[in-house]
Amino acid sequence: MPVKTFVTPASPAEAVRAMHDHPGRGAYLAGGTDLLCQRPLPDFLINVRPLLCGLSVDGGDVVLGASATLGAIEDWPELAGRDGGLLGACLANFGSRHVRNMATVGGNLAHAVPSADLALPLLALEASCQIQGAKGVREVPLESFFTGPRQTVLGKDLLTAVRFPSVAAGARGAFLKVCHNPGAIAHVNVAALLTLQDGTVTTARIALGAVAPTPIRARQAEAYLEGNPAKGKRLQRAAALAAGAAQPISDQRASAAYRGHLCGVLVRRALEQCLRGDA
Amino acid sequence: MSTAVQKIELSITINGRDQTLDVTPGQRLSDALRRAGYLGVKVGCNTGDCGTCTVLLDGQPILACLMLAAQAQGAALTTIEGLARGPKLHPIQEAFLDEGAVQCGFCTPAMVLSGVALLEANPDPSEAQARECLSATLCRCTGYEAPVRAILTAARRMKDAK
Repeated sequence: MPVKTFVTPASPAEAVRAMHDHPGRGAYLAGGTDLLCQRPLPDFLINVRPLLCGLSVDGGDVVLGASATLGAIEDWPELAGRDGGLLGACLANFGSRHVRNMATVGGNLAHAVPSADLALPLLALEASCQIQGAKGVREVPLESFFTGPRQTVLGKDLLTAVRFPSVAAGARGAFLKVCHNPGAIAHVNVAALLTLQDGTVTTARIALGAVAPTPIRARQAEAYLEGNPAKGKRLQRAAALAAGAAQPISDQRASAAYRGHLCGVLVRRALEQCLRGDA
Repeated sequence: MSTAVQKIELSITINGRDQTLDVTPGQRLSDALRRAGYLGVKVGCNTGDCGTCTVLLDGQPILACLMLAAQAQGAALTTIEGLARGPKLHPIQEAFLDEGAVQCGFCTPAMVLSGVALLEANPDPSEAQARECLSATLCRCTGYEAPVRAILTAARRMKDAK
């Protein structure tokens, strides 16, 4: 069945009204790089690409408009020093630059696959989601945003922006991904963010992808690291704890056993990379 | 509500020429362009993996198979057909020929357009940057060696011409 209607609303509120009012199955369309790979296409499309493209720093918080393209985020100079290098590291292996010129942060999060690359840096950065509903705007922590594979709290509402506080000075992030071809969907992906003071870990955040029904934080591993010296053996133990938090499945990309193994390896490498301060 | 499919008038500039195309909501940009005669836009996968549908939209390389025609409302597109000026080829096209970088030719429009965007943003790319640019396009013939050389040769020639 072909798509019947394509509308371009003038505001997020109008977009949400259109979604609630229009009969049939509809979807918000930003970049379309995920949506156009789906079969069948919806009955109607609400084009939100011209809205919500802004990138800004607001009182120390970074605000990413949901329709901002990944290419625009990659090129945005004001991100430097505010995210521990996490977003750039993530985007370097996200599809191709051609894809990133179209794909959006809102689309990646709203599609909500467990391996959503952008979810991991944003979880490590403790981002929150701004959502336009029929009755107004609300904010939901990203950690509560995903409710299952391809499921979020959105319903018919519209994700309008993602916001996170700038990282502490000296915070170092790492993003690692194993996938079949460069830029492809991850078998496993992880993000880590460490802040150190005099050799002691003051903040540790570890996010895991593709090893649970949603992207998750490895809280036990984080707690193990925080307040303690950043030493090799501790990183290994933290990686093992993180792998213990994983509940991977077997699918066409990888077996559960391989995913569990990869998870531990990638977390250890990510933590080591944070310590070294490599990009 | 009507069950008819919406008719959309797409106002778009292609290779410098303002046009209006009649498209439907679910029609891909790649399909609309090919039906309008721009056969240099190839369809290799329809999933954004092969890159052969690459066109420049407002100067940026995008994948026409992953964009709906309706999303290109008001945009300025460049396809491979827009590069040559009559018999005079673009320096990147010349370099591709001189370096033997065209075998079957299916991926060539995408590689050339990607190169146009690269050299516009970065007139003096490294080999690694030329490689990265071309990695967005899958090529089964050349092994990428000659195309990478062609990008660097074109860059050199374009710099020398200034």
